[in-house]
Amino acid sequence: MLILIQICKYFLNMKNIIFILLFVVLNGATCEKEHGVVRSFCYWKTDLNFEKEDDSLIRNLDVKHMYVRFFDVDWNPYAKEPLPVATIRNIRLSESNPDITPSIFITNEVVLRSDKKQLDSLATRIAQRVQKIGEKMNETKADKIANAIVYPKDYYKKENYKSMNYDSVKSIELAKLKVDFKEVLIDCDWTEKSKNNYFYLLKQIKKGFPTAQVSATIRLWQYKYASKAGIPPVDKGLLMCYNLTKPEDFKTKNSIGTSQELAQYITHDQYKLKLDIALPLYSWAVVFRGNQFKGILSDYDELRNDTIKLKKVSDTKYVLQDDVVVEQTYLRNGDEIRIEKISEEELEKMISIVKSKIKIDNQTRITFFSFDKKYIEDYGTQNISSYYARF
Amino acid sequence: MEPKIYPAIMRVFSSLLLVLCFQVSFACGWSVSAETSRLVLFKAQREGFFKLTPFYYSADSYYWTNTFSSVDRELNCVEWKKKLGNQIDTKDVHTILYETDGEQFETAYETKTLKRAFEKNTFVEALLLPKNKAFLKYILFAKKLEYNSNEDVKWESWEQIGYNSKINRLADVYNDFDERIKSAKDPFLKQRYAFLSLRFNFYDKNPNNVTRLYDTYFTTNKNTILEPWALYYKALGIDNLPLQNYLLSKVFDSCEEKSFAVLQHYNWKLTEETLALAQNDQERSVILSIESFRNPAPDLKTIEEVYKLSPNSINLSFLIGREVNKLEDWIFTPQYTNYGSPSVTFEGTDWYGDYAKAKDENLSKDILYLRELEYFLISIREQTSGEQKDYITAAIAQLCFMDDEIDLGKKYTNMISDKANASIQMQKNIQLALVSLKQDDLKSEKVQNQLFKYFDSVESLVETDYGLFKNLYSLYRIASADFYKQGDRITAGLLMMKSDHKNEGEYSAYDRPYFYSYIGYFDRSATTEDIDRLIALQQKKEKTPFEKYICSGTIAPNINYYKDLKGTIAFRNNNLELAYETFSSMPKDFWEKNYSFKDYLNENPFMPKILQKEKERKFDYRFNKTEFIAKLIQLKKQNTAASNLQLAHAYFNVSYLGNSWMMVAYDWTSGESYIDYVYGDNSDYEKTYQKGNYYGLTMAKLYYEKALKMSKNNNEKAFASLMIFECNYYNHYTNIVSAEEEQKNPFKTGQELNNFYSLYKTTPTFKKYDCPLLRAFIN
Repeated sequence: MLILIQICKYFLNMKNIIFILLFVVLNGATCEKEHGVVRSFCYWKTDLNFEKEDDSLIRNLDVKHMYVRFFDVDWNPYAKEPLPVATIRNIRLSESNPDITPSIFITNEVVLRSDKKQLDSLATRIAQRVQKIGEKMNETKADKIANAIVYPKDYYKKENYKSMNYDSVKSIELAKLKVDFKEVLIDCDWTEKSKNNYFYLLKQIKKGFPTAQVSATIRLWQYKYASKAGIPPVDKGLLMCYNLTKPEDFKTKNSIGTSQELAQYITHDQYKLKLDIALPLYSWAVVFRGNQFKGILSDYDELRNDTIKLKKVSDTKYVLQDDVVVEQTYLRNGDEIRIEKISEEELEKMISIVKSKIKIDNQTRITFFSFDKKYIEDYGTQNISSYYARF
Repeated sequence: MEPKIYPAIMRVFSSLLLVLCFQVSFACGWSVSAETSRLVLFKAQREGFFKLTPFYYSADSYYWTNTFSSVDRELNCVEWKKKLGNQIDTKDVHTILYETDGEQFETAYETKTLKRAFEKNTFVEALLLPKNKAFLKYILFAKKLEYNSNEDVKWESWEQIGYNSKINRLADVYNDFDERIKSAKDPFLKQRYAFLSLRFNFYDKNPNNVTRLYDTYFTTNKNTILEPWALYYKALGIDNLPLQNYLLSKVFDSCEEKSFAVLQHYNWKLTEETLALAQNDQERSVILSIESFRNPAPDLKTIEEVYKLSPNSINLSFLIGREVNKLEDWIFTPQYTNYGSPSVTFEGTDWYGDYAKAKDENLSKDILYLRELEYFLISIREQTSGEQKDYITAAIAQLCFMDDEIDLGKKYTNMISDKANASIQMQKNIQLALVSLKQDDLKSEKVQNQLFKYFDSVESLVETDYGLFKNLYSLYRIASADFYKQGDRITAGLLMMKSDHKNEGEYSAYDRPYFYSYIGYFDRSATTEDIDRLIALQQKKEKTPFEKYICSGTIAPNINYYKDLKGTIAFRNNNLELAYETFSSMPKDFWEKNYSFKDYLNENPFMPKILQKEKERKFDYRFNKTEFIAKLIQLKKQNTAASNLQLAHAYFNVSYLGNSWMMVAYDWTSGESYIDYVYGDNSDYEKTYQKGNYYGLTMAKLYYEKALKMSKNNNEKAFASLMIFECNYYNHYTNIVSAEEEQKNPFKTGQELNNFYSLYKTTPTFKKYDCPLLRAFIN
């Protein structure tokens, strides 16, 4: 009933909706759910240092898995070789213990410019670097375990507190930990032109991870035009259901994505690869002065919570009541701030569209981009849990 | 941020600890940088000032700025446009030359995607024409060099992870500069290759090659922005320091990008030797200006010399502006800041000595210097013209205002031409605001709305120059003082808050509004009638533009903040009826939900804190200000020995020694706490609370004496006697802070303690509170 009401509302609000959407929403609504999904998040920052609050979010959302961006690979035209950039500095998960899939973003230039020999070498180097980062991650873990063994809880509060060297305990603990990722994700916006090189590289990468599965991200155009883009030779794909238009194009309704646009891409159910699903979970604020665009604020939380300086005029719009400087931008009294995010209603529609065409089972990972306390609190853990449950 | 209150210190007074003196020091508490607190109102600019931005007068080594002149770069883009054709947009040249990574450009070139990667870029389109192949080759080469010199690279090594993993695999440039220069057919490219080579040789520490390249390729054709850039590298390679200075001064004069670098490399104390190399007056004036740009002391002498050499120069105007800013700092900063001394103090300044005396001497000296500068500017004004004349006129007006010559200042302000540039017009508006603040009836709505227009004219320029935040900070501080002088403490307070908001132009620790930040200023200056006006203003629906402006971001969102203050002031004034009326109009749970009330108003106010041992104290008393005042009124009406004893206890407890001091004050004692830093020292005002009860226990003693007189009960009399002794004791030590003072004026016990130890020695009160320390006072 709820879904039908939503559809009616949707029709009333948006007369130009394409019929396909109605079909998929109805289709999605009729599916009986008989399974759970693997709850996952993407972590794409250069430092992962979880604190208690993060642990509690992971626990409350029952997140079992995380895609963690380990590093990017870009083409250096002067050295004439692919080189790593923006490698993650720390992976410190605190009390959480989600299953981790190392994720590597490779630019299309790398694939286009590298010759076979370089692609072979790149595959080996990727495997070695993942191993190194995994070892470093284990070292952090071993350090934490050893620390807990040597210093019992609240030990530092005791009067006779002494600092101790626990290197030997740490090495024993480290020896118990192995780098054994079950899967590695390769992220690349490959083109028809780079397809052959990229697929070759994926095969080589697979050789470097004999005991792990290799998965690849699939962008929406690669899904829709699968015959042109090809199907990557991997064990699984991760379908990215966001970033449909460029953020700088402000004529667009919502650059993060809309269900309407998504429906235009997920038009068939013939993709020949088992797919996991990635959905967007982020937002930003766009500032206007007298209807003229002034800029984007990514960190607007503090300002939004300032009920003195900011007056809420509608669900997504606020008007400044005073002059403030935010992120080096001087905003004036009267400026309008619009929060852009995918509404809960839109997200539910997107889920229905995905479900209507893509097979979801209890092994399917549903991942949200990206893990950030700010975004999670913005949507609310209960809502996010219900999105997982909708699959 | 919440105010700093020190519970541990408060608990010192929890038992009968009789100490000789109290000296609580919160040394090195709060401070902001000298540059932050410095006042400045004069910020008129002439076209061409931008390159001089780092040399504005400042308490720091250089004036902080996050914007730098791009004039040289624009000139370079124009040169490219001239070379490759008018169809090119210089913005596109800028994108490629200054906003594109070498790696990005090279990759696009190699993948033949330049056109796609830089879509609609007219410069790239021109470079891709076959006839321009040599120019494209040059850009690729220049980008390669740029990549090689870039130390902040994104690239990492495959072999390493962690902090040492960054690498820069240098591109091979084959060191074939000479060949490239030689083979370049176009003189435009020849000169550019020569420049690349010259810069490469400079960093490769080959000064002779730098000189050779400069002399070969730049002495004959100086009609390019590359020439002063090249000269800069040549100058730095020269060992003869006066010559180096001379060449650097030429660089300074002929381009914008290197002005800051020139001042960093300039060799000081070689003025005469450097001047000896100058060829003409213009060169001499530039050298003298450079020498003066970082002088923090009075420097009228140089200004006079520069005027003689180059009367219409930008540098002269800038130096005059610096001089006005110096005087503003020396005169205004001490006058309008709580702990103010000038931001720039000279070596040997004995800040902990007799500063008050030095401050007066300095002010007299500064005023004399101000007049000297003013007379000089008046004497040259007629000889100047155009923008220079308007600038100097504005400077004279500013000096007049600082010297309280308002009419003369107004006269000069009115002489500023209507055609003056936007910055000088803004200065004119600041000055008109000053005239209005000093001469007009600030209660007039018309005057207030005109002031708002002046304020807003500065506000609207802030976006292009964040440095103007400092002007707003200063202007609102001065405006606040003027409204205060005319008795409008409400507008004064709101303007003071505005001033704090503008300081540094961003959210600062003391800009986050919380309960006390809305009432802090008024806590120290307002009357209950003032607070009524403030409440009326908060609730006024149709505010005037001026009112709307001063209230935005400053007025409390919750009217009860003001009511609490009003009730508190009434209580301080012993107006119990008004205090009751005010508190009773507030929500009953206000003190449980706001500020730190529940942390400091949680004990029984009718049991003197000083007679309780630490373990006897309970912090579970549900304190309600309304009920407390109602009880006091009732006790006063009863006027019995017992009711007076209870009243006395209550007044003891609302003093700084008691357990309910927050009935009277919002911070325990004024000293060097955070809020003292923001709102100024409050000690003198605190001493007047409740006719001196807060520190001197005057009211408490009065009621103890009444109780003693009226009581027929020996135990009550013992209690009152003991507490009269305590009141006398603490009153005596309120103002005595040293052993010397104590020696001259020792505490003498009165009859009350003797009676306590004789007449009342069998009472339960005596038995409970008798102790050796107390006994010592009767021996």
